[in-house]
Amino acid sequence: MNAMETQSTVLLVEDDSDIRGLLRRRMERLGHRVVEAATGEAAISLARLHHPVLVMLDILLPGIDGWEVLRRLRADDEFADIPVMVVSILDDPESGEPVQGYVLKPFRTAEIDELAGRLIATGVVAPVDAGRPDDEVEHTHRGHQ
Amino acid sequence: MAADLATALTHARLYEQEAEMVQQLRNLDQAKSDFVSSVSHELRTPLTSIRGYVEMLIDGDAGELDAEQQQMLGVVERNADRLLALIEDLLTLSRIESGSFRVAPAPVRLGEITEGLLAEMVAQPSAQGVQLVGEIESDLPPVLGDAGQLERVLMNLLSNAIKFSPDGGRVVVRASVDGDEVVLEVSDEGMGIPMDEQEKLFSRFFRSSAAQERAIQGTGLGLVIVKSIVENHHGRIDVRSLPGDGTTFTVRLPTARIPAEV
Repeated sequence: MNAMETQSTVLLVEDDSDIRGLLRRRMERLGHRVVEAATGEAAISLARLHHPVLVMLDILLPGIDGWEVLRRLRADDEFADIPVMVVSILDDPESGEPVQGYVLKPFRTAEIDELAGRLIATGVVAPVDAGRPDDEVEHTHRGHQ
Repeated sequence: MAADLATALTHARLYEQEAEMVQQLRNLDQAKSDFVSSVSHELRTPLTSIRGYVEMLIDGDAGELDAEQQQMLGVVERNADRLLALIEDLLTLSRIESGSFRVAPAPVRLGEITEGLLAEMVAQPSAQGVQLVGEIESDLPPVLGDAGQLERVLMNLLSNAIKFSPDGGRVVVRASVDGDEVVLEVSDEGMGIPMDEQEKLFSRFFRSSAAQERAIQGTGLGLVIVKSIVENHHGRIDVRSLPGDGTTFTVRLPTARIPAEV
């Protein structure tokens, strides 16, 4: 088994290439391998190919949106319980599938590190209701000081 | 008879035109709120990259920085935070104005909110060493409203009072009951607000002369948000201030009429 195979893979779904680069650097810094998708369709193909331990998911994407990506992943037995961490500008999502973490953009990099690290370390955790992120423990709303 | 009929028709037409105009104004207002909301959301994406990359540079992720580089990046970071504060305030305001700011009316105990907020703020003392004092009547009746929004009212008033306080000054928060109203007062010992500026305090983007002279940061929207929230809760806000003698903001909110427990 080579070094690459021992690293856990994070699937990063984000259409903004700068933010993708930022999140990739954070995950690589934590020692994870990152596969990147700029669209929802690509995300589903990459999930099947790489079997990630965590999906970081933007919601507003070209083509199918993040919620649809999540529905399709959850419909697949292999990904039914995969930890998903939404990273979005939407602070008041109208409706959404349960997710294990919700981070509002702009975020502090420490929030990303902490939540991603915890989700990867603990594996599947109880989902939060993405429709009410403000009330949930896993939601790390930055809020201005 | 013909004249009466003509008058009635004219009135009906005028009424129709007026209703149409009101609808047009409502649509325009909604479009403006939607525009502000979507622009504010869109600004968050570039700001995510600006803050994130600056943070990594400051952390030394791309190599060690000298003191001058650190200081310069600190300026970028601080201004990105200011921009974010402005975006958040604009979003909040557009939501309040469009009516989409969710109000979940429930009995709210302002005394508890005040105590909680004061405890949090005391735990993170301000750089000027301002002393925070709470004078909260026990057994305050609840008000009906949204706890999060009312906490924001208090938060904005408190942070203003701290910002405009002299070093080592005192900020006092009083919560009491007066008839069928709960009264919240936030007083500081700052330089006060000139009379001619007091009426403009609740206007968008208004920055007092003191704020400008002393370069006190703010978006000019904090008090507009406070007033909107208070009025949405059927309350009112007043300011009392004399130059050189501090400022007191007073919020009055109607107490909740809760049916007696069975």
